[in-house]
Amino acid sequence: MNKNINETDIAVTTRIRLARNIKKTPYPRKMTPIQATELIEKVRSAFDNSPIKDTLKTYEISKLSELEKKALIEKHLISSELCASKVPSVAIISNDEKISVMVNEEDHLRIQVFADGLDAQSAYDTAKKIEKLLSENLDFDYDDKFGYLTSCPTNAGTGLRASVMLHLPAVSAAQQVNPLLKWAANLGMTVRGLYGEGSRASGALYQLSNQITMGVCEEDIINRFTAAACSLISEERRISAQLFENNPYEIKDKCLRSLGLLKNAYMIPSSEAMNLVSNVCMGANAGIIKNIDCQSLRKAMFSAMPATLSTHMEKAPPQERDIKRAQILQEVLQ
Amino acid sequence: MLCEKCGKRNATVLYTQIINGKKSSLNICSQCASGESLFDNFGSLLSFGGRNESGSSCPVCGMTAAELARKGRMGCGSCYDTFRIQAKSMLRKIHGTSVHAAAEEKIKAEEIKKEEPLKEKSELDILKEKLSRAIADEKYEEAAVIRDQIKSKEGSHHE
Repeated sequence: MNKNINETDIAVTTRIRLARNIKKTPYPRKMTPIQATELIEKVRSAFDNSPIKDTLKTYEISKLSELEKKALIEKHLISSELCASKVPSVAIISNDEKISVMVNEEDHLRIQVFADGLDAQSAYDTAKKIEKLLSENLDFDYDDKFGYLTSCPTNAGTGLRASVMLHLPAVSAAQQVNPLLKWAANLGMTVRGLYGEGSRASGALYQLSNQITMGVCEEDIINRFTAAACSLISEERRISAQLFENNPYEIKDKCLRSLGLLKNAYMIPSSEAMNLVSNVCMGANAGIIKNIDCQSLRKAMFSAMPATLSTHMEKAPPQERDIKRAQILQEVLQ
Repeated sequence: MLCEKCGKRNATVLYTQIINGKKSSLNICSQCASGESLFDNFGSLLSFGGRNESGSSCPVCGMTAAELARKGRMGCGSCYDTFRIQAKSMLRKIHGTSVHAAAEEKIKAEEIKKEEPLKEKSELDILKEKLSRAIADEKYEEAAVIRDQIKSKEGSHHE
């Protein structure tokens, strides 16, 4: 099997997350602020001695404004759990935003690596390199029977969670999401909305991730996850072809109408932007719309999410953000 | 401190029970304390297998079994040791197993190792049966051959 599969027409980004904890230290919910600060220092000094130190920036959560936090959450670089931590917590993020190490979230360490499209293997390889680098300064808690120990038993064993954001407009339109949830559960996987558990799937964006982290080795998790993502991608392609065959005019009209709105609207609210981009990308994948780079369009859409946009336009009213969003998207379409 | 039963109100009562010399304590609110068979409720929730972990608390982080049952999260790595039975039960429910892949491979390897000497023994048993039969039938030449085979088998087994 080709391990570095990209499929960027449907797969948006892949994320690998490793949860690790330090021996004989209470987890963040039970640790003292002094223990929390000591851990942060150890992690920082491990990175300070590494070749990637110049590419990293440390964000002290307590020093960030609410807006800055929201913007980082929108980009999946940090979690709301990290922001809610009662002890000092930080996120160490690479300049290209492909690496984010959260310290004192639910677990002591959450190593996250992102890759474009579907590419769990290379993201995993990078995560392992970071884990090795940190293990030189830190003693990870590992039990002979249970494997890596984590605050929530749902992560114990490998502490490895692989997830991919998939654009599934046809599956969504054909109301095939519920059967999909059952199918994923049978494979030890789960499908959720864009912003994780309980969130709505805006713009037909879904997250597929592995649910089982114990009893399977890390390499097998990566392989099974990749295989499940590939089946889901083929299913989207199959249903999409069917939809176009059964309702060619309606779907063509929907895609082109959305393109028209994206190109010409003066104000675009974020939820509308997600749906329009979804329709345009579906049209581009089916060859109805030519010369559109879906990856750039999606990147522009994420950069124009409310909190991310607000960090550049302080105190601007929502209408001004909607005007700015329309401009950002139209720049990509020109 | 919040009530360890409902987790909503402040704990104002320290409820202690001693069964077979084992002391169990819970910090609870007055409403929960007025309820009957308090420990019966916890017992059904927390008794996993034969060992009762309901009265233990983690020596590193102070997590209690009741708190673990309520939150579903460990307080530190030592909780996995303190509440081992509870942890195994939780892991099995979530992952269908409570054994990490690397540990599973090790267990399988050990099982195979254990099986091998058993096979050797059973072969030895067959030879010993043959020997008894040969002696009973007064087939002494055949018995001598079997005896030598047994000796060589036993020798290789002890090496």
